[in-house]
Amino acid sequence: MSSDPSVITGTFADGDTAAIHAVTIAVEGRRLAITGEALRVYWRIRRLKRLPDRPDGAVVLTERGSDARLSIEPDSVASLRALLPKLLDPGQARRGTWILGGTLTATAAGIAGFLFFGLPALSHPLAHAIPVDVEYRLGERSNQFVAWFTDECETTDTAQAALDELAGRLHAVSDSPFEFRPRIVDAHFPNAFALPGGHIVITDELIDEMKSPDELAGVLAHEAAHIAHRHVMAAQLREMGFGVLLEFLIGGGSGAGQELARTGATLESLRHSRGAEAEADAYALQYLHTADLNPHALADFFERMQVVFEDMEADTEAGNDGDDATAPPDSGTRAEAWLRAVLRTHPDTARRAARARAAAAALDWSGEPALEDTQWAALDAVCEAGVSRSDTAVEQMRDRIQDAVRPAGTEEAENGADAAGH
Amino acid sequence: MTDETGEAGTSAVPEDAGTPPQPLPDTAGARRGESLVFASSATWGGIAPITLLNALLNIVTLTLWRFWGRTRVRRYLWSTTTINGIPLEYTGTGWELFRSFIFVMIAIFLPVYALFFAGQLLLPPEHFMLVFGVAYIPFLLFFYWLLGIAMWVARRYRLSRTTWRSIRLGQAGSANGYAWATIGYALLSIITLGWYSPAAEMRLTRRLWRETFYGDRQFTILQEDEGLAGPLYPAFALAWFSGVIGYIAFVVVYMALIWPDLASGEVPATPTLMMIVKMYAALFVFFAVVGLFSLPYAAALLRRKAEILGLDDLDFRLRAGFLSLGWVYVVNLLIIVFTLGFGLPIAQMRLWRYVFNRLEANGEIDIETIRQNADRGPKSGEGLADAFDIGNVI
Repeated sequence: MSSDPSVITGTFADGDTAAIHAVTIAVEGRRLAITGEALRVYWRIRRLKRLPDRPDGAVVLTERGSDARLSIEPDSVASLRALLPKLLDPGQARRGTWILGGTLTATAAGIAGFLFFGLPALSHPLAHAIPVDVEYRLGERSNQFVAWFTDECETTDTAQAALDELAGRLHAVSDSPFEFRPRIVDAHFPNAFALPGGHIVITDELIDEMKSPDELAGVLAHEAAHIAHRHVMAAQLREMGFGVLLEFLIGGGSGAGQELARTGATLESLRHSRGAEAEADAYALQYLHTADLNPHALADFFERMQVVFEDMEADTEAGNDGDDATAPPDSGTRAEAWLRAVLRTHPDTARRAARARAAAAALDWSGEPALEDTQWAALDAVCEAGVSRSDTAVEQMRDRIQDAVRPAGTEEAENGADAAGH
Repeated sequence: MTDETGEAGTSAVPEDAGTPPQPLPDTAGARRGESLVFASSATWGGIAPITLLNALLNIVTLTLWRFWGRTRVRRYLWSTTTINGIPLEYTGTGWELFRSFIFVMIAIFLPVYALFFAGQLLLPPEHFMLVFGVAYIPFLLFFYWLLGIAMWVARRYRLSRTTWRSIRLGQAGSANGYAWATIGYALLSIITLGWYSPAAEMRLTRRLWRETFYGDRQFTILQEDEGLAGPLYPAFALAWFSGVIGYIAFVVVYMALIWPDLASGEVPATPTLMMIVKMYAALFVFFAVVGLFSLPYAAALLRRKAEILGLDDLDFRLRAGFLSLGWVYVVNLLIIVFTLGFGLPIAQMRLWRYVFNRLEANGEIDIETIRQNADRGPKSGEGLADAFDIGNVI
């Protein structure tokens, strides 16, 4: 059954020395006989492995585990294919690519699916499973970071007591495992945010935007809901899981593909924070209602902020036209401004206001303001009296970082707010 | 089912292994030396389909394909590179790279991440900054040490997966020693304002190559300590001073560009768009000047690395000139920029081709007496390098 009449020739590198032998090749039973001058080697056909072809079309074979290489010149390949049809099937390499590519695509889709659906779904139950004292410690750490990058406003005892009183009323009606610890910081943008463990940070710019203590109560209630429902913890868990899995997927790479994946991840995390905002709004209204605070104030405030954001955007856009007007410092910040507009402010604040307005309509309220006039006056004056210095050692660094992260257009917003407010 | 204990003859057994080669028409001398001629036949046409397929698959697999893609690029470059007409072979697989990456992620990345997180939770807030500050230097040192390890280990992997005439290359020596050497040399370079870096570069090259093997033959360094980097210094001085002059030029150009803004007395708190554009323009001038004057050093480095190398009676020469190398670099930069990075294999091919078409060997070597390298190299490779984003080299 052996010995094909036509002679198949090739070259053989034996894997032990650098010598290269001219050989003839034949199939003898279940073996491939390789014969050269002073050389006879048998390879078992079932252990043969086809390596990638050379660019000139030469076929390269080896036996599994061997360093030796048998190369068959392109003109001889056809006659060897008749003897070893399965091994030399020309479609095999292409099928291998398809199978590998398909498997990897499926794996990547699985990981992406987990990142986009599994992880967000898991993050809330997981956040609730985190022991309260662990979250508390994390909160202290986050608070420390915030303290580095912001100046604490000199808050009078009256003002802090007013804040704490409101926070206490909200805590009584929430089922938050953490006390709410609000404070006011000096910053160039209107914002309020919750940290893990009960810290609520409000910027003086935001207080300036407020027309009544009821609105402050609304904002506090919203942040309180984030804390009570451990949204911040969930977001941190999500980001952590995201970070780990994303690194697993893309490695430390900075290639084009890696950057695409990172951008996708960023957009994804923004999408989820919007869901949490809506949930916090709903709970906030519930707290306001139960604590007999003005449930309409939240909608009032959103509507006003919508106008502020629109002004900011208009200023930003106007700034891009002129040469000497203030423009966003670089493409990254500009992209951030765009994301801000698309994902947070423009459509969203209006929708949130409308939703809050509709929900508040069904809620009754005694008409009692959230704070006494004197208390509100004390709060309104916070930061105007003075700013207590953060550590001077980190001050320069802080300023630099603050400049780097300051969103586009806040400069105008600041000026606008100053002009309008005083 | 595998029938492992089949008939004998499953491995290569030359019939009369003990006797010398047949007396062919050849000089009767004991050694049959030949010189080496290097050539690369890699082309755009050959690398472009690989590049395109890699780009597509990297996108749909969210970059998981990169291990296999890199392997294909190497396989092409190696197989189109011939020495005396016989091609190199790259024997590595994507699976080996992938496995190594996963291992590194689990064994190194995860513990470091866990350590950070545990530190955040367990350290009392008031001491956190202190601990963070104290731990920073050792951590940085560890990071750079790991980087050195990654480079060494990746090189060992690539060499062990490179064969010519079925004989492997290999790297011996110590990864740890190399890693500490990179740290020490980096510090010396900083202290000397960069003037040590040519010596550092050559010493690291020497450290790697004198522990490099082809089969059972070890590469030698023809130039020991004295004057190892000496010939590099004129070109380095040019690059160094161009850096200083380029910086001054940068400041001058930048000031000239923004002078109208300054003269008008209206300096906005945040820079305007035009100021940014002007700064980038000045920065471009800076890099163009420094890049141009650094080319002679880059070419000299390539030449010097080749000429200190020896293997048996061979020594090497690389005909690298700064204009030709500059052309390769400039076009490569354009390729990478205009393909958003996906064209990297084409750029790699052009540099690879440049080196192997200009590499020459003098002297002779008796190739047929070279025996296989007993060291098979690591079972998997480059995971650490990939984690540090230095894996995608050829």
